[in-house]
Amino acid sequence: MIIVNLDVMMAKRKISLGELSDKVGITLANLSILKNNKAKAVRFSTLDAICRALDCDVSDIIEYRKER
Amino acid sequence: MLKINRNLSVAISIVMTVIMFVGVVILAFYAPSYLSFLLDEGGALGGVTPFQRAFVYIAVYAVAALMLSGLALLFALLLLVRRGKVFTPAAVELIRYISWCLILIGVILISLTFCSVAALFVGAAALFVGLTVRVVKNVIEAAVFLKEENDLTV
Repeated sequence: MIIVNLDVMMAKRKISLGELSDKVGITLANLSILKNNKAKAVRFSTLDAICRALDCDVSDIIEYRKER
Repeated sequence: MLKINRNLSVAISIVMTVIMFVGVVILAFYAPSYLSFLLDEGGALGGVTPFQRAFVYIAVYAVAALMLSGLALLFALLLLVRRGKVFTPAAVELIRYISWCLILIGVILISLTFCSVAALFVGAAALFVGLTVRVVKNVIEAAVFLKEENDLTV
């Protein structure tokens, strides 16, 4: 399964959801969906904007974990 | 072409549903008198056995009950439409129940063929409409899935 580690990366960068929302240019509601692992798909443009805002790699935000 | 406001259109549907509900209640209230008129010797559907007579009464009231339930479900569906919540699992569930109401009405009416051939045609029509509503439910179910996927794409 795909795990979103956006909250971990946000904590590392000491950035709030509101600030990230402003920097990335997506709504707080959508960012919240992504952070809470409720998203079913992520656009490349969103990933690009988040990686740029947090200065990190895609693998820092999204991770694949084998289901047991 | 005459263009009707969307909200007005929903309001008209709600009013029509309520009028039909009241109509069915009135028809069910007077059912014994017109059924006895039809089923009595010399009536249009005369010559039925007491068992068949009882069956006709039960079937007519079952159809009325199903119609009232279907209309109540339609009313609930229209309220969802008015609130802009058409493509939700709740609406799909309501449409599913409406289709079952129609299918059951069709089956009951077909079972009344023994006293009138017209019941067969009306029953078949109800069955067809029920099936159509069921297919519409399948379509809306697919739309709900697509909408949910779209809403959860960030």
